[in-house]
Amino acid sequence: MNRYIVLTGVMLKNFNLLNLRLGKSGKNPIRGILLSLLIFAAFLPMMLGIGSLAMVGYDVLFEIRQEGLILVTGFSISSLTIFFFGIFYVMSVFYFSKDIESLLPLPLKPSEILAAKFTVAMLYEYLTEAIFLGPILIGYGIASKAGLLYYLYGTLLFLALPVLPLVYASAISMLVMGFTNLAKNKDRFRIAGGITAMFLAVGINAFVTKLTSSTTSALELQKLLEQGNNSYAEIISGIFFSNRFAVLALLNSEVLKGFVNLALFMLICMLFVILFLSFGEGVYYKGVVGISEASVKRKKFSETELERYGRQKPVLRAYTIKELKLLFRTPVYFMNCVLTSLIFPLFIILPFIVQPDEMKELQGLSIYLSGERGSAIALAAAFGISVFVTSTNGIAASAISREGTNILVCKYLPVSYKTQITAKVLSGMSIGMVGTLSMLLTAAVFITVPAYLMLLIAVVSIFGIAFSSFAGILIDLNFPKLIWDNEQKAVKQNFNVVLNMLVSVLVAGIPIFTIIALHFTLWITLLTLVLVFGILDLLLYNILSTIGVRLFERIEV
Amino acid sequence: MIELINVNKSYSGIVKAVDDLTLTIPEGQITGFLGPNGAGKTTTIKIITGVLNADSGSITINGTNIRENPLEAKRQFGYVPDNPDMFLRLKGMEYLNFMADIYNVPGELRRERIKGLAESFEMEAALTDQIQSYSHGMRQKIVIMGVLIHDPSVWILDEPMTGLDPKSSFTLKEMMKTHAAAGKTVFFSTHVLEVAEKLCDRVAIINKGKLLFYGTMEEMRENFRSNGSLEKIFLELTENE
Repeated sequence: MNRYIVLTGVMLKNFNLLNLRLGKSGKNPIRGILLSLLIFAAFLPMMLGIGSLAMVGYDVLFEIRQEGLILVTGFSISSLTIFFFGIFYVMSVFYFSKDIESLLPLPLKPSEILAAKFTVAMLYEYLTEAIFLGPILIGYGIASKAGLLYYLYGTLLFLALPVLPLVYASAISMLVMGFTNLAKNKDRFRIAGGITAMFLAVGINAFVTKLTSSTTSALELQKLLEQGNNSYAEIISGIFFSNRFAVLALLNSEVLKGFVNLALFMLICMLFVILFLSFGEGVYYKGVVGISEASVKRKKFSETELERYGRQKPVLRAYTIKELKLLFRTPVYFMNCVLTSLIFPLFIILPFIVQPDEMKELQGLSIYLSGERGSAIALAAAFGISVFVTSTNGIAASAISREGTNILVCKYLPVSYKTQITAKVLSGMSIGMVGTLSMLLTAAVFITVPAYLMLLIAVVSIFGIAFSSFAGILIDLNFPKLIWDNEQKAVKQNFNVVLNMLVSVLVAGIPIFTIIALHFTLWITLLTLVLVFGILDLLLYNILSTIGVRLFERIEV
Repeated sequence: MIELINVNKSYSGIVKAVDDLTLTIPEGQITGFLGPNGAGKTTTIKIITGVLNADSGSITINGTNIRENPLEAKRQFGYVPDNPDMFLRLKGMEYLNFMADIYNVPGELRRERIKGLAESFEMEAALTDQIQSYSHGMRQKIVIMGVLIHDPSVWILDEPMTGLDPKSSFTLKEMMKTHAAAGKTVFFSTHVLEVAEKLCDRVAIINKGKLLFYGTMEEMRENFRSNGSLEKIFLELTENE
């Protein structure tokens, strides 16, 4: 137990989520504080919105005595989000973290390392929860004029909720990693493992959704809703079955039933932790020992290889290729930056696999798209998708951070900062394009899209992709996160990526909203998007070539 | 030639890492940069190479100021940093060609150099593997090869011998001698006095960011007997052995 506490403490010291650089390199703490305020300010409207939505929803649902539905939604979506992102997170914290190599020689049990790492992962999930579940719990509490016990139970449930989804995520990761660690080329297998784990996660979700939706037909559901008395909460099942007790605990916080349900929920969590630790005791080291071994051939290079590698390339191209190679070959970067941009098409396909009936409804959509208004909306929406896909890949917004302490190489190479920034932007843009394209092509399989519309979409997307990439690297140049002990911290635990997503979606959202609200025609839509984002892109490019270069100059480790 | 004039650098405005350093590193000689751990050697080298900005003072490399004309100055030197853990997911061959592209080395010439360097450093069998599979010494070698591939006139090496096996260490030392003999500049840091004694024409000794001594080895030996603080440093350096 003591060792667990000490370990957790040490790991938390490195838990530098915001770039609050202290000590030697902390020349500008004000910037860090400013950034935290900015992020808080960016999330505040969203949190207030979710909170007030919960309050409004309460009033409506209270009429049919199903107000518990709000809590059900809150817990279900939070669990699912934690589970899904937990897989990526657990992979990097449990396996790719640099501290593994210093922990392995110490006389520690696998379960002790796991427990400490699990705790750190839990703390990270609280941040995710705070944005969504927090406002819902508070909003519901205010609307229902709940007593002190409700808030006490709410806090306890909030703290314990990530246990189940994280245990699932860890179990999948440990199995996959244990298996891939047997392979010779570990990086490549780990990437394959990441993809497998992701498909497993998506597959399990789809399976469970299908299962629950088939057991409760629409008619039954209606009956259930008519019953009132929060009967809906009683039917929660599937992998997050314990959420049922969480909801019932809150609904009945004033009576004994509430306490009993809370106790049940906590008991299940504890049981899962114990199961997880004993499972991990046997499996964890299978995946983690030898994780840093690299594949080796040690074969003398041939003349043809020398010829092939040794062709001279222009500096910009050589630099961009280097960026892309590192993105594809570093498992954490591949999973977080490349794979996530290719995962979106899955979300389009998934509903049709689960409910094939919905295919029919798409015919109507195809006809709508060939119309004037439909095509304008499609163009605006596709533009929005391109911005969203590019900003979520986080390549530009972490381009400087990913260098880490090796940023010194960028400083002594005789390559101008402008060229380096351009190469980094180009690498982000190319993955953004691949992501957008794969999404649009997937959509085109299901919906008939006219060829000219596809072409226009391709054109406006480039403006959106450029915008998001420019904004991303500008943010990262301002607040580079260079001190990290695992690559995950450079890409996922980097608020520059989140900030870029918020900025991109906001800036792209306003014109899209205007276009739809004011019933723009297709050509006016095209003109608006090209004009607005053409100017924005030019402006940002100029800022990058002047202020951006100066910011790059000033970065020191 | 490298010229430092009144260079200052402090961290967080408190700890003085380089204190009013003035130093001219001439061509045609091997200059060693000595000092105990934390003396300011690496910081000084990082300032020379443009990795860090000095608070004040000026640095020129072959007459080109690193602040005013950074790209031109950076093309003059090849730099081996103290930590060779970089570009770990590139293959050795890819790294060397990346460096060659950055320094505009033509295809024919670079292929010739890669072959020669791979042979001298016994790295032929490793170049098609990723750098992360290399041992510390091999990583050191690949970084050195990456510098030599563009044949810079000024060599700046931060603790280059660390982790090298005796043969590679010997090869590198011979290369340093040849380079200096050709009238070019070699500047390297070490905290091992013995290496400096065998290799250097001149030594600069630094401690707590201040230059304590600059001259030939011969002058140093004479000097330390009459200079208390230099003697202390000298002892610290020899104790390191």
